[in-house]
Amino acid sequence: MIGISALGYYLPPEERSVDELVASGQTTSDAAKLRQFGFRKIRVAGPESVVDMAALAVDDLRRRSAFDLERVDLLLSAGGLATSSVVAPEDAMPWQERVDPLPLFRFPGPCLQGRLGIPNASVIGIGQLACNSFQATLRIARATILAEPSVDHVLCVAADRFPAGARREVVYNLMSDGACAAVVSRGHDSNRILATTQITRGAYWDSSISHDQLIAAYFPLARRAILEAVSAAGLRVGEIDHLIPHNLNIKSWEILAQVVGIPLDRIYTANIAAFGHAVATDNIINYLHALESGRIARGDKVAMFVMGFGAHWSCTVLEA
Amino acid sequence: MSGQQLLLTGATGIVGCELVRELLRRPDPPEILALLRGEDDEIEAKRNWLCTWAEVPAERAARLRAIRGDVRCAGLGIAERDLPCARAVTGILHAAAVTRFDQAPEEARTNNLAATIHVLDHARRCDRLVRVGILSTAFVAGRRRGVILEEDLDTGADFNNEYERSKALAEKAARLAMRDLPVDVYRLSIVVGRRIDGHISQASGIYPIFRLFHEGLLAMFPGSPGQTVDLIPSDFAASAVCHLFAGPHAPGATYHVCAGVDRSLGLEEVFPVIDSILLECDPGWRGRGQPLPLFVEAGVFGRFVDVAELTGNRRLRQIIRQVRQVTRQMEAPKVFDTRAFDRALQGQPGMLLPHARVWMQQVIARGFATGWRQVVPGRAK
Repeated sequence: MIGISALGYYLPPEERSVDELVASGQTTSDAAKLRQFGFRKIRVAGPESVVDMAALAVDDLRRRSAFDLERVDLLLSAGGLATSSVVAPEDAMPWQERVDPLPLFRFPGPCLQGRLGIPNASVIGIGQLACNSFQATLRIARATILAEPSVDHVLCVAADRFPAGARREVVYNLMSDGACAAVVSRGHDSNRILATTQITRGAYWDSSISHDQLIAAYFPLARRAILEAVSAAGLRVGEIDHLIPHNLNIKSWEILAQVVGIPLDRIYTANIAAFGHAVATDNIINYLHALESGRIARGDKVAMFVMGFGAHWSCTVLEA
Repeated sequence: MSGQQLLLTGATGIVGCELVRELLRRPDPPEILALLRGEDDEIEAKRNWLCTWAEVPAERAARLRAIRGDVRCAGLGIAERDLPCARAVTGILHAAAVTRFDQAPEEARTNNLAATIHVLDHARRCDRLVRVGILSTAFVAGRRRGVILEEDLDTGADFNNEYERSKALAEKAARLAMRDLPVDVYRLSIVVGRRIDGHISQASGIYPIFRLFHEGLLAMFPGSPGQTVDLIPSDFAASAVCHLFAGPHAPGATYHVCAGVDRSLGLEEVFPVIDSILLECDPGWRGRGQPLPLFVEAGVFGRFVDVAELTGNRRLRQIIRQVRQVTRQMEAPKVFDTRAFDRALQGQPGMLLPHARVWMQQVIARGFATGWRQVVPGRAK
């Protein structure tokens, strides 16, 4: 059996309210509309880099679980945004104008490994999956443990921060900065990973062009990803006790709940207002909050769903 | 129909042009007097287009004449000089209608109710008249659910749009006229392209839904399990109407010129069938991996519509409104009973409509080939 043995996250302390975001021109919708979509505020990183945030998420993981990082065999370092895949050089020169290509090899995964002091853990970076990046780490961690007898513990990390001043509304959703971490372990019998699915549709790879098609494809492929994962876990949708969402607007969940056949009260939507959609990290934050609040009990069946640009639809089914 | 003279309204419409084609290609073609709007040169252009559309030799095409008129006007707007021939007809087929679902109430009444009343008034002045055929829509049933009988009308149910309401009112006028005129009503379901080649003169009606699906813009579709979508090819509609119009049946009946439940696709089958056809005719289709739209209850779809409205996204709202115009009719599932129609077709094996699965290939392939616009060379403006 393979399960998640430790969890942690980091959300920057600095908050921005909907009104502040509207006033600073970082949204396309007005404040009333964003509130109707269920948003109240987001978290915005200050001086923290993505590596800083990733390290802080791992710190949180260690505080919660006392997991010994020395046991990590593999570090999967994910970033949802393109800017999360390279540690930006100090000179901020545009990449296309660089004569010296060395800064293009500054990767956050190895940087994080160095910061954490875990030289025995090999590193694989995961990108191009947008908000699905973290679920991809769970999939790869599980597959690696199954395939490689020498790998017992995989540390999965995702961290993203938007460029300063970037628009924070993306397709009627407000976006936070954040990071999360989880250890996937062989022989761990809680938070067992029962199944993972991922659907990718390259026809929608350029979101700025295929925006309308992407919205149209969202619900049919979300339903398919969830039902396929549930089925792969040997379950029926009625046996799913909780759906852990990414924090898209509440209106979309009201529809998806009915489309999938999971009552809305089984979907953990409490954090939509609190910090919005934190790229690849909100699945884990929501799962952790639901566990800590007692909402999810040991043995509950949990489907964790996320959709991201690219376009990807992913679902992981866990037994808590 | 040899020796008959027909006054035909709406000849350039989706069904009208197919009626011209059907009538001119019969072994015994009648003389057709098409009532057309426009200046003389426009009317001539429309007549020429109709002859092209009919694909008949010149001697048959010569049986099609055109006169200027407008069904929305009293006396059909026919000039004095044309009245003698317009009143000498033995039959009138009233196919003119404005089928847009977004018509304002007054507009729809003028286009559809007043027009029918004018046609019936004209019929009373035709001394040699044998039959008047009024083309209508099976969707005069409005928001009623369940089995709709051919004799049903004015059941108190509400309508999905002013088009349906105006056509129901027109049928009421036609039924009143049955007391003194040999009137039949032909209720058509959803008309699509021909069985043979998929050709249709205008890609309206359900075609925008086909196009939205092909463009990947259709997320969901409201409907109930087991619900059917009654589609009829335009050539079948025309040949059925001509058969009923020319047949020996006593006038005064209403017919559902519909495929009926046994020859229709279930609502849940429509997009998988289109998907399989596009796999064959669109080389890029498979690679897109486009999902089929979800079938959802009306309430879920309503919620989706509300969210689309809330976003303020103009394109999204436009798409939703376009879909909504068609889906309103699907939200009240119904089956059109075709007993009278089936009886009238008995003994006519050539008139039997195969199941939609047999001929949808042509309709969709043609729609795809024309970019869902069905641009017809020489089409009169």
